[in-house]
Amino acid sequence: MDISQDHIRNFCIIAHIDHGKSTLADRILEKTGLLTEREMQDQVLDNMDLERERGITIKSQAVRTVYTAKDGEEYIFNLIDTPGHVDFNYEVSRSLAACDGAVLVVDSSQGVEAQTLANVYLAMDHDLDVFPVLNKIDLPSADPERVAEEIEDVIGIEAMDAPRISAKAGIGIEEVLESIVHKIPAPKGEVKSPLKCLIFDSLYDSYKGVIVFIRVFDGCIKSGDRIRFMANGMEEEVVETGYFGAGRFIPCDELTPGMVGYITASIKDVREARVGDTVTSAVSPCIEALPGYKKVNPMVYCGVYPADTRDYPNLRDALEKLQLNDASLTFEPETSLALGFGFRCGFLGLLHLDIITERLEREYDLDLVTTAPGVVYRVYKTDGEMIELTNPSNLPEPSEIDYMEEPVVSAEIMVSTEYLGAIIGLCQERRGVQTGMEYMEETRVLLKYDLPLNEIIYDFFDALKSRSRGYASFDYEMKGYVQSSLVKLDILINKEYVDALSFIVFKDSAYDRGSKMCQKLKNEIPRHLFEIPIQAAVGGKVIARETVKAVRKDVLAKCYGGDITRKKKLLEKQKEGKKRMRQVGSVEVPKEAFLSVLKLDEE
Amino acid sequence: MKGSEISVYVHIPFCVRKCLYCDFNSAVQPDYIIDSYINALLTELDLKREAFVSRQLVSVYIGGGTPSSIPPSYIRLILERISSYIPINDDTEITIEINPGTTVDHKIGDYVACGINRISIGLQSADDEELKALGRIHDFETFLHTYDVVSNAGIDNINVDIMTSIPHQNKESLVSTLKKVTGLKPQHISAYSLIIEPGTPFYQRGAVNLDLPSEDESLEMDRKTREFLDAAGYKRYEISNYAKKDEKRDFRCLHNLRYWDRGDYLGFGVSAASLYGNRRFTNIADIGPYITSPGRQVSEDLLLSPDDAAAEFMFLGLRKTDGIRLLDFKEEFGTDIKRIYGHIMKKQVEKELAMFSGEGDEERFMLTDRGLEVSNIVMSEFLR
Repeated sequence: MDISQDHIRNFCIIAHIDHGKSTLADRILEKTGLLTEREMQDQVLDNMDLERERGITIKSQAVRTVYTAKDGEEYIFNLIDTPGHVDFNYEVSRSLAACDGAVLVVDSSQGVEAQTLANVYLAMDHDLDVFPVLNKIDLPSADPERVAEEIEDVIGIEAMDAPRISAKAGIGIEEVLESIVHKIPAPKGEVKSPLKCLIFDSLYDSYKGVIVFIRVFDGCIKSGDRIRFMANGMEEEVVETGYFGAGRFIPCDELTPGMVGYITASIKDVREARVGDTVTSAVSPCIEALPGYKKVNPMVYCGVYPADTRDYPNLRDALEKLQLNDASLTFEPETSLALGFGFRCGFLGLLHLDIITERLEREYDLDLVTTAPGVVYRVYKTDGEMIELTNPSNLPEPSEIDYMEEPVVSAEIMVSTEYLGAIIGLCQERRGVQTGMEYMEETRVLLKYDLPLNEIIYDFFDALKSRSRGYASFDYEMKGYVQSSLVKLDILINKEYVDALSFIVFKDSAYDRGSKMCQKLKNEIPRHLFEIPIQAAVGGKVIARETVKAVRKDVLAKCYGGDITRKKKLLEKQKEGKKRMRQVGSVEVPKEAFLSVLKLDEE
Repeated sequence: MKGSEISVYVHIPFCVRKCLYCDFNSAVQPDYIIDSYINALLTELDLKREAFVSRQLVSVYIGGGTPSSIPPSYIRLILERISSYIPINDDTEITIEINPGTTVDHKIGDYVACGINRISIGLQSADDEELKALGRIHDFETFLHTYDVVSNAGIDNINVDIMTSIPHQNKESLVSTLKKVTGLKPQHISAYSLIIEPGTPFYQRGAVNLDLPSEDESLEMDRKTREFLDAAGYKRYEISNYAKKDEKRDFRCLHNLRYWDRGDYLGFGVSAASLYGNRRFTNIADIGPYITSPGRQVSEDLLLSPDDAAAEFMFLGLRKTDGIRLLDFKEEFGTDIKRIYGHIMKKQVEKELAMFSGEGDEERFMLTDRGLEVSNIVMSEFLR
């Protein structure tokens, strides 16, 4: 069918987590007839098991559907679903760049939250037309009028006539569809201009190679065309073009301006078709690439080791396979005295790390030992060299270090005034510097802080939730590096230095973190036949110590004819516990202990 | 010949009162249940009589519960039924457990008459306060009377059970118990460290509330017990068992040695366990269903793989102070033990938790005193 740009609507849905983004997406697909109710699996766009379980979107997804509007015309809807977590902010921004407008979903009982704001600002930065939708009006606590006012006050967009809907109950969906037609602008591409497409995601397929998700801004693209990836200059020939059905790729002859679809071009590695890059014609290229491309760098690193050393090759294979689909995952081999051969892996954030390790364990059946995640520090040496430190063990000698820098984020926290004191306290404990405080309404405040990334990667979100009883929301973006007073905290178990337990810490917190770490390890390490000292040291000086007492007696006094199977099971259980241990010198350390640093603030 | 020998265990699940630390299958029951139960037990013996063909009976052990709580005529019936299927001779060790709180004055004659030649008395402690803490029904005075009755009836193989790490116990009260018991000169003493088993009232009360001796104190008591009994002429032959032994007679318990040497044995009655040709099975614990179909329902039935059997060989054999004979392993499993466990054995020797002794066919591997104190750690190494 011939599609005129007037009849295309490219949009995304943005929302704070749990405000109903995915449910609304499903309803739209259902109402436009792409899916019958019977075909519907809940949350069609979240493909991975993990996405469904956690209720969050990890990868961008896109789908095309056709809507027959009340004016009798047929409209092509390209719905681009964006990841819903700060770890994937760059991906979100590229997905937004592929759209012309956004539907803002706001929970009509919860109101505007931190991610609502962050997403709206992000959308506005990309010149998207945003219109709000008030969801969950069927909830008893819903107050759409108040929330509409709040949206107008806080965000400054018109909300009084926003559709009042319940995506779950299917109320008001028609109105949303009509609003999409009328409030989201049609794309305005030039068919005659040189080809200009934005890559907003990619996917590895074992038959087709890398499938590149694109939005065409100008020009046309079809199979046989020579194309160029502008960031790396790579040239390929297009093999196939197509668009997105529900969970399927549907080939088509060509993609024209304003269209959202995919291309394949016998590309073997997703890293060659980076998200955010511009695809143009190799024959008559455009002069300037689309703005906003950057190579995303991992923010968080940790060591990943197989629990069973024999699994090392399997772990490497698994990481390679995951990387096929995840350009932002990096890994390189490293060796630890305590853990043997493994990999130092880089992730976009803690959620990303969590997802990858969970997939490795689940989909590849690997038992892993992971070390405490850390951020990338910049170490300026006295000889003028700067190194980006991803593994604390590689920190140069103190005498070789001129100074160090750590990454800082700017964070926005939305909190009700009731918990304001508690949250400010938390931010201060985490070395935050307040950069702003605005009253959104009488009872809600938007706090702005600069926070060191290493203070928030572990458990900041949990602490925030618990200190605000769940009434605080949080969003952040990288700000840059600042000079900081940092030291490496080393742990000695039975007088032996354990490289995998070292971490970088703010100097003034070293004593506190060190003692907590020793206490934690004392509880994690089982008693042995000998006494085990656990020490924390900075620069060779011990600053804290705990002792794991020796086992004096461990014996089954009675074992007669009736007990033998049961007694054997007890011994087997004891043995099983040992299998999950790593040998550090003469001490058996459970793999959980290597993550102790993550749990220092738990009580 | 080891292969043709067999032992029999008979379980009497009745008690006058349940002790606070007991996790054995036992309960207080009305008389008519006792009668039906013994009948069921006899039926189970009939059912399994084939298992006795061409075998020699090494030992019979009547345990519980409290076997001395039921009329001795029942005990006679059981032993008569056994002897109708397999000869009982003078060498057969026949043990009954008795509780000092159940008067045996009028029962002991019957026990001797029906062939019982070993009596095990559950004393636990000579301190009446400690006995109370354990929930026992007797005091030390009653025990002394029972002991006299048994010994005057001509029983010359008596075991006394004592316990360490009892709530409120200390080294002095333990030594006092040891003195009083050894003064009676029984042939055998079992000295157990109290274990708080799940499901017992002690377990529910929680260790903190029981005023139990600490791990260090408990170990000190174990060591004191060993030292004291050794000086009194009792040789320790298993983690918790001590016996008199000289050229003339060895009073180690034949029946219990069967368990640690993995000889065949058949258990009769509820929850009774058997090992028969590498098959381990256990009767159901519920008395009702057992009476309805005796010996036909099991709660567990395992055919041991060579791996299972080898693991058992190690952790059971190493309970004994003379450990295992390396040749026995080779004879049973057809492989040199050092090929399978050599590196683990060596590691234990290096840690001074175990040692080798003897040479050639008589070479043995055993735990040291320290190894026995932490034997769970050593034994678990031999499991997969």
